[in-house]
Formats: sequence, structure tokens, C-alpha cells
Amino acid sequence: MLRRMRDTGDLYGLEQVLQRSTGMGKTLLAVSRPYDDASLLSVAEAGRKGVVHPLLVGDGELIRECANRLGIEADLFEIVHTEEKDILERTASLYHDGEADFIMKGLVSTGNFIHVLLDPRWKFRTEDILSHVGMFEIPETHRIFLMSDAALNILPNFTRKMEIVKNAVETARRLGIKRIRVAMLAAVEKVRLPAMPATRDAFLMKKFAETGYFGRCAIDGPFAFDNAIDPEKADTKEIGGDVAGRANVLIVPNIETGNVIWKSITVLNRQTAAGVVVGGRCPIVLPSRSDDVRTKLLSIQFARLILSE
Amino acid sequence: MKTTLSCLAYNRPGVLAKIASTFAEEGINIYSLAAGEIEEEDKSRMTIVVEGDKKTVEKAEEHLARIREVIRLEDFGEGELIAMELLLIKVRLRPRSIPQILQIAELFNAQVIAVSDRAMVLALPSDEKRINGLVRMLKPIGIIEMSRSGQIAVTSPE
Repeated sequence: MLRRMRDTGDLYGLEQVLQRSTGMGKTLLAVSRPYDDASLLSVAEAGRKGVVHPLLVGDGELIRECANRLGIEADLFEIVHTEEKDILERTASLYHDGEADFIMKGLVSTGNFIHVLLDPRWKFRTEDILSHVGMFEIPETHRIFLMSDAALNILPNFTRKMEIVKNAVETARRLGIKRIRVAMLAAVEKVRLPAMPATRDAFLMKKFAETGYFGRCAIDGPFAFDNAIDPEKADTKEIGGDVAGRANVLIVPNIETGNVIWKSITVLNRQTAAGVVVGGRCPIVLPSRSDDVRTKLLSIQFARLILSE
Repeated sequence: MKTTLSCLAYNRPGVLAKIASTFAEEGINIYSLAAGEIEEEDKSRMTIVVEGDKKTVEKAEEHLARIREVIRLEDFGEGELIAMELLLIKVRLRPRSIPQILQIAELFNAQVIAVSDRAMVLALPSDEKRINGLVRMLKPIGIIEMSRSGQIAVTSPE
């Protein structure tokens, strides 16, 4: 059941929200080089839950061996045996030819994976840019957060940030967040130039949102992290508006900020998280090779949820 | 025809007036003039860009060289100087023009140094051609205010 806080329009209970993906019918997920235990176990579990039917692209013998060793039932997946040099292209072609609904990266470097996928012949690109959207929960705040971009766009300029915001807002909409409140993160709440260009972009994004480019949502900034997520902190600093302390979408100024927040929440705070790449023709499950089974499984479910709407 | 002159002079009252009147007497228009202290406190360097034919400018240069406070006067030929000026430009801020202004700023490597709800101030230290280009691009968006420092120059290190 979808859990939403009635008064704020937020979602909460990350695993329960993602659980919605189990009742939507199976979709075909192409996974390139699923040679690590976490990738195999996560897609198998997603298969058992009825979320996906995995198409495992790579060395058939190796995949079969790994699956046997892990005790994964053979009928849970299909192997697409492919020569090593052709694996990424085969994965892309499965999507292109309509044999897969979305894609997941296994034991492959992100750079190579994206590079092959963006080859014009796969027609994967849309007019939007690709960006990563992470999803996590901070129990004390009683809501789910989306955060972008902690993985793909290194130091986006304003135009790129516009597209990152657009992708994140669209993802929030597809997830069912009713009142989307986007906080543009920086280190302080006032514009400081030329020292802190992130504060300028945050301020200007709020202004630009007045054009209606992002649809129905509230965008504000700049905010320090605490003032974006904690109403008490925002009140103490007398920061007004709909977004202060109540944000549910966080836009970070650069990949370092995103990475540090992400790792603080998942490593230090041991919170569950999920992440997908959006902006292409379908969502891409792009986990870090070090992510555990649970994170990979939740990321598959996250992708499935936003694919279906 | 534009000529760029570098004038090293003692930093004393009235020097600038003497230089300006020398050009005025010859009917030469001062296109830009930038002055500032150099490494020696009692001296300043003026970079003067004037408009006039070669002969008249040379005549003015002779008169300038006779001014007591003028230590050295150089007429920069093409390719001999490294020149730059600073532009500060305030443009109107409408939500729909924000991406365009920032793209133009990025294209010219101009820096946004201040923003408000209604305006944005950009700074660009560059050569005349690029500065003219930036101004031309920003014109349709709405220039509220603009200030140019005038060219400053040093001779090439070679």
C-alpha cells in the first residue's frame, strides 16, 4: 500500500513504497555482466518478487556456475550468452529491439556502460540529459527524499542543473509524491558571490521556476542541508517558504556534495537507499559495484516503479 | 585610426589635465584613458587610446614629451602590447532570460558578481573585441547600466 503523509503530500516507508513494484506485472530487465554475487542475488530476488524477469547478458557458463553456487533457481532468469567484447552492445540492443524494458549494469565500469548506451544507433537518448536520482529515508524526518545528482554529472552548470531538476521532479511525480518541494543545496542561505557560485545558481533556479518550466512544484534555495530537511532548524534561522525544512527533493551543486551526503546516510547512518539513472528512454539501474544485495534490489524496484507510470 | 599610448609620469596634481589639453589642442579625441599607480609609488602609468590621423597624433606626442612630469611616452605598435579592459554590466533579470544570460556569460567567460530579484551584474576583463561581443549579445536582454574601465596595457614580454 502506498503510504503518504496526508498533510504534507510526502511518501514515507521506503521499502513499503518500493514494494508497490511487486504488484505491477513482470517486466524484462537486461543485466550486463552479472558476475558478482550481489547483482545475481538482487535480480533473482526481484524475479521471485515478480518485479522483473532478468535477462542475464554475458558468459553463459560463468553465469550458470555463479547461479548454482548461490542456489538461485534456473527458471528465475534467462541467459543471453554473449562474447565478452559484445556484452554492452548486446545489452543495449536488447532494449533497442524491444526485448527488454529496462537495463541494469553488472560488473562493468560506469563510463564504458554509459558510453556504449549513448551510441546514437540505440536511440536511447531523449532531449533530456541523463542524471542520477537517489532515494533514501531519514527516519526522524518521516519522509522519503530524492537527491540528484550524486553519480553522473560532476560539476553541472546552470543549464545542466535545470535538466537535473526537471528529471528529479519528473521522478518524484512518477513515484507519487504529491507536493514536490525542491531544495537547491549550498553551504549558506544567502547568495555569496563570487565565492559560492552554487548559491547564485540556487537563487536563480528559484527565479527561473517562475516560468513554469518544471510544472507544479515548489523550488527554493539556497539552503544548507539542515535547513532544507529540518523544520526546526529552518525556523530557528527564520527561513520562510514552503520548502524550508520540508524539502523532499534535494539538488546538490556538484557530485562531491552528493556523494558525501549519500555515503553519510548509507554508510554512517546505515540507512537503506536506492538509485537510478533517468532522462533516457528507460530508467537504468546503475548501482555501484560495491553496493549490497538490498541496495541493488531496491534500485531495481525503484526503476520498475518509475517505468510503469 | 586608433593609437594606444603608454605614458609614464610623476603622480602629481594637474598632470592629467596637461595631457588632456595637449590632445584637445590638436583636435584629437581621447577614446579611453586609464591611469593607476605603478610599482614605484610616486609614478603612475596612463594607457591612452586616441583617435586621430598618424601625423596629428605624432605631433601631440612631441608636445606630450615636453611636459615636465612625463617621464616616458611609448606609442604601441600592433602586436607589441598586451591590452585589456574591464567591463561591468548590469542586465535586467526576467525568469525566462536567466538561462540565456548565464549561457552568454559562460561563452565569454564573464563572471556573475551580483544578483538580485531584478538584475544581474557581470564582470569581464578582456580585450575590446570580446567585450564588444558580450555587450552586443546582452543588448536584446536589456542592459540597465554599464561601465568600461578603458584599456590598460603593458608591453609584450618578448
